[in-house]
Amino acid sequence: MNTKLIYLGLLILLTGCADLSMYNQVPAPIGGTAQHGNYPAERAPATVKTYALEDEQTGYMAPPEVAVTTERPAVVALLGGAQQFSEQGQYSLALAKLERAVRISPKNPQIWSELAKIRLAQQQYEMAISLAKKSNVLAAGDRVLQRHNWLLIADSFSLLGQTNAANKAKNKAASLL
Amino acid sequence: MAKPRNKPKTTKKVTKPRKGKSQPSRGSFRRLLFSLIAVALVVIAAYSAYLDHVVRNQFEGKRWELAANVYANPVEVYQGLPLSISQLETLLVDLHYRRSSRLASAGTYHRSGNVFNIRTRVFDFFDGREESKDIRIRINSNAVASIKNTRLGTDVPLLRFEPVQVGSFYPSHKEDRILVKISEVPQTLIDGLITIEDRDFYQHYGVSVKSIFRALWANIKAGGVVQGGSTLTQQLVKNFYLSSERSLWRKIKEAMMALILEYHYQKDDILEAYINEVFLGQDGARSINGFGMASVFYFNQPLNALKPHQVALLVGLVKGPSYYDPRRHAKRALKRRDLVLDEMVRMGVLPDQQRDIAKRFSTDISSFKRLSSSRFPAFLDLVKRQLSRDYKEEELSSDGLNIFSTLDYTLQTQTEKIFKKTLQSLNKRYGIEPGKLQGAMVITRREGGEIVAVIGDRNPDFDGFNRALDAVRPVGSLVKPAVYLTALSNPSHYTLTSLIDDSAISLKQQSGELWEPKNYDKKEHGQVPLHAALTHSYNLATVNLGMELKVPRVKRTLEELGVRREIKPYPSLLLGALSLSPIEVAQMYQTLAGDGFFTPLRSIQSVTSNDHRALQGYPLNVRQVVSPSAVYLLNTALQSVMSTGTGRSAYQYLPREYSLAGKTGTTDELRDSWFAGFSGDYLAVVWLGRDDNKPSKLTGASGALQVWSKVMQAISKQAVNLTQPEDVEYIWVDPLGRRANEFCADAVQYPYIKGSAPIEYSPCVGSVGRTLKRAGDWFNDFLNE
Repeated sequence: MNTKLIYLGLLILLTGCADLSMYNQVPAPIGGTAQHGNYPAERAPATVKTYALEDEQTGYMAPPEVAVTTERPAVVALLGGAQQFSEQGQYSLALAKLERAVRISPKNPQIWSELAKIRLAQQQYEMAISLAKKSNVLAAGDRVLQRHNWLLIADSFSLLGQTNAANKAKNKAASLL
Repeated sequence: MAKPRNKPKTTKKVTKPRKGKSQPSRGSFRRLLFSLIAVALVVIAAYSAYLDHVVRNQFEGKRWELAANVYANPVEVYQGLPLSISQLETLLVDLHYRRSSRLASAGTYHRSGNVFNIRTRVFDFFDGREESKDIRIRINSNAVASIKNTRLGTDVPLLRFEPVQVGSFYPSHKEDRILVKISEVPQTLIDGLITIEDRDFYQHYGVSVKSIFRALWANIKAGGVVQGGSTLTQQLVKNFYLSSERSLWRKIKEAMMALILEYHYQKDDILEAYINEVFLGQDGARSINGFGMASVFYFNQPLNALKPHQVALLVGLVKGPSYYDPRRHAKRALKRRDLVLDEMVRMGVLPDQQRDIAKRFSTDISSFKRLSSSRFPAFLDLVKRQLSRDYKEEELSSDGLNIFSTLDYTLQTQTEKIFKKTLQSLNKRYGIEPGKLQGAMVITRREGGEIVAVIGDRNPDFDGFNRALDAVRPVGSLVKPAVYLTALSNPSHYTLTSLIDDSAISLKQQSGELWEPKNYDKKEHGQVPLHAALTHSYNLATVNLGMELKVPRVKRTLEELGVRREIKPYPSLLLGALSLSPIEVAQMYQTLAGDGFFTPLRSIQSVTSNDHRALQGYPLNVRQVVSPSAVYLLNTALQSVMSTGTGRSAYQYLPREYSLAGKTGTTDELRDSWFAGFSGDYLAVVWLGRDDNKPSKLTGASGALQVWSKVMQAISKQAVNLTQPEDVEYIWVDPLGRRANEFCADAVQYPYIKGSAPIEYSPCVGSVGRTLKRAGDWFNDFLNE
């Protein structure tokens, strides 16, 4: 215990001395973006060389859209509509609404999670599992949603009779609490 | 349509003459004769009943046939959607909205400055009805600022316009038809047909003996075939029901059926069927039936837009579509047309003056042979194939289905323009034989795999060989990501910075011959990091790596990614000895763009019945097939291909912030030029090459990539934003792949799957740095205990 305290003290000392920007790096250009990347809108837009283009092109190409982190009202409306259809048991209509939502916000993990829910209701368990996994891939950092997805996956595996896989999924859900 | 009635049967009553037994032979002879006649009549009656059934069945079936309508993906407008004023106006025009300051009816709009007032039309979609609304849309800085329902005074979160109709087809017909109603047919056409083919059409009962003789006489007098002896009804029967076999028996059958047809149906119905059925030309294996289709095929115009000189030419074709083919026998066609015009004047159905004007025209044929009733034949072809895969022909038949496709109308039309133009300029710049450079393009949504645009020909309007679906060509370096993905899926052995050997290799093939691949620049680069080998598309490194991994494993990766075509597991596979069509390549790269989830590409969203009942949805499906973390690593390498590698010229057209990911592909002697890549919102695959497989003089970068970049510049709005998986961490490494920190010169951060990061430290990291690192790790563990 003593040695641990000494090391701790040393660390605190060195922390005070050294410039500890080491562990909060934004990744270098090569190698892709990190989780909380800076979006282009925060930097000055780059101007692109003007080429002889058709009338429709202005020669200046605007920087890409800033990803919207709050849900658009459009998506909220569609999710609501899907919910209604689902409650009435009209699953294929619910799916159609959710797909419209995917077209608008393709990276929104909640929509994918809702898709998984509908598939589960339709007893399409394998599809439900895949969609929930996809939702998880997009939901990096959102523990609540990830946990919800793992529970859905666990349910699906149980209903498929794959108890091992179901237990693994339940554990993953628990570890996210 | 005449009410069906039992055809009165005529039976002859046989009466035996009462004669004495003095002439027995004559009596029995007559008995025999009469009984034979009776039998013959019964047979004729039965046969007539059978023909009657055939005639009515077929006629009803074809007459009431409804076209299946194909719609593009409806435009959905919401606050924040990038949409310029001109784009919205163009959309309204495409949907045939009229300008009306009062918004007099549904389907009108009115713009002042950046504010649109619109009264939308009602439309029944698969998931419900979109009611007609009074809407105000405000556009600011090329995006939708607000959408209000002016009647209710509320905000509208989402507005779905009715979809553009992009095609229609008759599922029971293999070839495209354009069916017209008699009320839409130009009077000149009717007059012309009656004049030339069947003067007594409105008077006879199906067969006209008078016509036959009159026509014979007229033809003798004129020294040529000016009139036909067969009635239009007989010709219809010939086209409709019978094969082209010509015999007396056929003629008799034809006559009987013509009589039956006339008995049951009105003249106008028969004429309409004739106009839609008559054979008017051949293009290779495709037959042109009906004046609606012929109008488009010969003149590239709808039937009701034709002028008398064009109508007359088509009427003249009826007698011999090949003989009078205006494209191959222009002089004959003109002579025939003029004859038709003269006869029409003689009959008094065409004024002199019009005839004189008409005769001044040449054949006036369009150089473009449109074979499709749709503006987007390549896409419609895809829809038909996907439908026939899922529906049996009978289920699809005549029911007027509404097919909601995934086509993005605006995107497709923009892409077509750019594609055509770019091919033309490449043709010129590289001195390729004019007209020989061909190409194809497939564009999908990056998430979800919906196909938004398809181009199958350098001339996108052309309905011929659909290269997007059917040009199966060697993919060259496009296969490489599969090799590297196989490696990265094994993080305990390979990372992005693992060194691989870019040095000469020679392999003995089954034939005994040696295969000695070379790099594009003919050099060997020694030990190179894995990411660099992919970025610069080094052949030697790829083969060395692939042989280490074993070719069958690479084959399996390709299959997991979604390649369904047979893959030969030979070493040459590693450099792209695999032939795929552009859509198959798109399917493969879709899995990479989708974070390792396979999603089958779709061209149809849903199908409703003619009365708008939901019939079938084609919902979104995904299946995880490769590790999302491995795909993440690969995708970062594909981003390097674009930022510093063979794909970098794309950034002459798009801002660097797009962080594009993609791969160039070039085959031996530059026969095929490929590019496959994605931005945040779209994935696109381009192939350029020659149908005769001669060298196209284009590499993947100089050819396909140019097309890709220009199209993406026009359509893409979102950057690639790879979501970093939870088990991937960024680590600083030096150029040799040893662990470093940001203070080291030439150090760069790379992503690693946790547990696979290099352990060996670079000399540039001093002991202090190492100790700090160790302390930091311990501290983290301490907290988590």
